[in-house]
Amino acid sequence: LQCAVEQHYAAKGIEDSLHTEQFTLAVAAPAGDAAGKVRFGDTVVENTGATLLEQAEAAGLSPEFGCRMGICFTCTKVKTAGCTRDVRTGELHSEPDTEVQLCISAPIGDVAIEL
Amino acid sequence: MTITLTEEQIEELGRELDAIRQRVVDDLGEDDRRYIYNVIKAQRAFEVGGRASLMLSALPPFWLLGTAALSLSKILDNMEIGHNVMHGQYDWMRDPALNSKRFEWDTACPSDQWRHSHNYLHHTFSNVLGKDRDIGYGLLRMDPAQQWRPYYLGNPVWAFLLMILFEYGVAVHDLEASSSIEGTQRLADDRELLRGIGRKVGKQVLKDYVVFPLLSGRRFAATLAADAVANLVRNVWAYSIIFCGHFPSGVTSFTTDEAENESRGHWYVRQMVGAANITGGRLFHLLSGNLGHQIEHHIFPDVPSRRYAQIAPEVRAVCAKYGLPYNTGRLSRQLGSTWAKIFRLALPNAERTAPREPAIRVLPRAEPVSA
Repeated sequence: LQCAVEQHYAAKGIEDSLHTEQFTLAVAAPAGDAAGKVRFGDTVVENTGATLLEQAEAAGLSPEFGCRMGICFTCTKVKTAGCTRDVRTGELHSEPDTEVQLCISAPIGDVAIEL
Repeated sequence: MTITLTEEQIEELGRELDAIRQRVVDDLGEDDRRYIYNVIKAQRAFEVGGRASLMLSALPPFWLLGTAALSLSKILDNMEIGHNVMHGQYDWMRDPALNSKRFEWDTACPSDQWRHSHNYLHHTFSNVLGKDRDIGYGLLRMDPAQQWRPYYLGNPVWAFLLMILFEYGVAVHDLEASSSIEGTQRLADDRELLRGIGRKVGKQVLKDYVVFPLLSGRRFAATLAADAVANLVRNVWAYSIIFCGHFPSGVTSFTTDEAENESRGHWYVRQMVGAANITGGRLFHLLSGNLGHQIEHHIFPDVPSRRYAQIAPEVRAVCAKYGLPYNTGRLSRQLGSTWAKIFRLALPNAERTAPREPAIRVLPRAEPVSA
């Protein structure tokens, strides 16, 4: 729920609207991914909606990676804040200070990763 | 044998397997947590008990008991705990002691190198000739497509040596795989890997062959021998289980082209026909780290291993539905078949083999028929 709300806020700015609406809308249409900023350590980029690994590479960073399909756990990093979506399953993860696999996680709104 | 599937079928198969995975992942919880903690408790009990038994007395019953307990401790540590934890099967528990990136195991191979050569190279490019160095470990001829050389006359001898010294073979695996496959490896990187191997081997040797024997006082030699035997038992067991995973007859290998640009469904198919299972009871599966469920492990390497038995019937049904072989058999059969292959491939291929058929043929999406 928190994740869905965050996603909506990121897409719409901080406009006031009903939380129940936001929840339904966000879950039904998780298309607002490409908003907000993604922070990789000290590097900050505009969120394009691509996976964290692709966005980090586009920013000229070279985090360690392997399979690029979510099986080898080479690219696992700590997400300090924000919400990500598992691109294989659609699952949302919003808990701070948890590990995410960069290659199969797309950021939703503002996300911060420790590289 | 060529497996023919349509694009739609491969997509559908991928969705069915994804659904099985999702169901298991959603259900992970207390039982899985308790299970892995219990296995760790058992492993520690064997380790402490074994060490205590060796310190108490050098009388044969104590020595035998201690050595057996140590062997079991190493087997559990490497197979059901280490290999699976390092696959990230327990990362969801957020216990730092069971974190895939931090775990270190009781064997010569440094865990960071293992994660590279195994989790990444072997699991991504399973059975792809030239990419998956687990095909023969750079030492053996395990596939007829490997060019025969006189060196391979020694195939059974090299295999036997690899079995005895398995932990050291595994230890240099990443060094060997990295430089031969990734090619671009610089000498400096090799040196870095070598240093890592040196550090880990040094630690293991110090622990098993210096510190514990010294702690045993005048029973130094007995403890040293016990440690050597325990390492040997683990080596032979691990080698045997692992070789049954991909080498029994009927398992398919692939060319680099075949594994290029594959979809998730296609990757699943390659994983399933490139692995072989071993049947057995619960104790067998525990001691083999559930690698008897190699097929299930290869499609879901990050799903906790105790779940493989549970989903095996469904995976087998998926194979049957799409006409894929599901290679399984008793340990004696799979191991016999593997050794037979080691001996057979010591010699050049008997007949000129016909140009290699692709293992999987994918039919393009059917065009809608217009009336």
